[in-house]
Amino acid sequence: MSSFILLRWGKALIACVSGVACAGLLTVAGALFVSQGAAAADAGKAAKEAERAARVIATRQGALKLMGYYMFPLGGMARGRIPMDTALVARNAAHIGNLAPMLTDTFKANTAASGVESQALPVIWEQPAEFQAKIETLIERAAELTRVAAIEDVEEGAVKGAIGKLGQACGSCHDDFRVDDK
Amino acid sequence: MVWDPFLRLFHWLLVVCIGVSWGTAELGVEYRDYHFYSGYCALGLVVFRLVWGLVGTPYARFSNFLRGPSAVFAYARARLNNHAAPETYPGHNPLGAYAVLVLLAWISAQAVTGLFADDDILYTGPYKEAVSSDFAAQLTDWHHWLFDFLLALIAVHVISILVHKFRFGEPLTRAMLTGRKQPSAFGKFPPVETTPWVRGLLVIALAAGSIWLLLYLAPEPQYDDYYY
Repeated sequence: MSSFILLRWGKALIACVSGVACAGLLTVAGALFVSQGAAAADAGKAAKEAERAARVIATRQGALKLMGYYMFPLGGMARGRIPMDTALVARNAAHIGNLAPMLTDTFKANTAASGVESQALPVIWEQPAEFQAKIETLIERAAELTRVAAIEDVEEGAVKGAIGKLGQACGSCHDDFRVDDK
Repeated sequence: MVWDPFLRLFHWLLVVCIGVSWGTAELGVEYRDYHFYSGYCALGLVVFRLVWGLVGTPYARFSNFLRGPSAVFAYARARLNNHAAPETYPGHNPLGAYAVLVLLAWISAQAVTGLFADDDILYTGPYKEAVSSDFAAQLTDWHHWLFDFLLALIAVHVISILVHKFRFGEPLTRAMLTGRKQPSAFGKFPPVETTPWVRGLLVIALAAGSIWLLLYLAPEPQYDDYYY
């Protein structure tokens, strides 16, 4: 009888201990799984953020590249390397004027801390009013060049001057808001 | 006389060129044309100086002032200990000679990187089209930071001249203005008696011609279907 009771208690004890051990292991494993999952989710979120930043940076660089594309022949004309073509100047200046507001849109997201490499200085988002003022100047100068280039029999000097003014608008923003060295 | 008129003109025109280049760079894109001209002038001046270092008046020649390391160290040790120079050097002293070389090399690097520079807006250096755009962007960066160090080198140069004036009693600025030094500065060496005007003018023509050729041979940017 006594040996039977002992056996039963023994079994119960083993069951208890193994039960507790199993529960403990499960808890630890579960906790590990959940925390790993959370970390993975965090990493996924950060990667997604970087991807979003990279996309908006590429988009704004696209807008700036288009401006450079339309500016390039104007530079050649301003420096007398190719014949002045006022129709082309008016058209390109209008395109640049239309691209300029897209800078406001594509620079809205602050990508300074995204870790994605770009030449945009953090001061863009520290002084948004000053940055926007540069864009307004760009829009005005592009409109002025469009107007001047469309005047019939306009003097070349006037067009070259207006091209130079537009170039200054680009340059003054690069000076203040763009990393000088890539 | 130690410095002939051509060498003095070279020195002070180079000062003007560096000043104008600095000013026109800081003032912005509307002065960029003048920045270019000033850079071409500086490059032409360096070419003049290199040729004048081979065929110029005695104290202008590299063979006169480039000496071995032992002479440089002997000179530097004597001067740091506030002794007189171990020898008489009517022209550049052994240490100053290398300062001249470093400044010349730095200014040429400054001007040459400018030939490849690109401001991403209206202006590109005349040789930008000769290299890839990535390399041109790299050289543009160098063009910018080289100048910061050039300013430091010029500061060292000016401080050295002041040290020579106030510590060693050598009026080097006056010598560079008038070309003359006291007879004591020559020791056993002869002063320059005459200015080789024809030779000087020929070397100027050579330097100007080489810059003209450099710009004449510059590859034009392509304004073609890509932009129309």
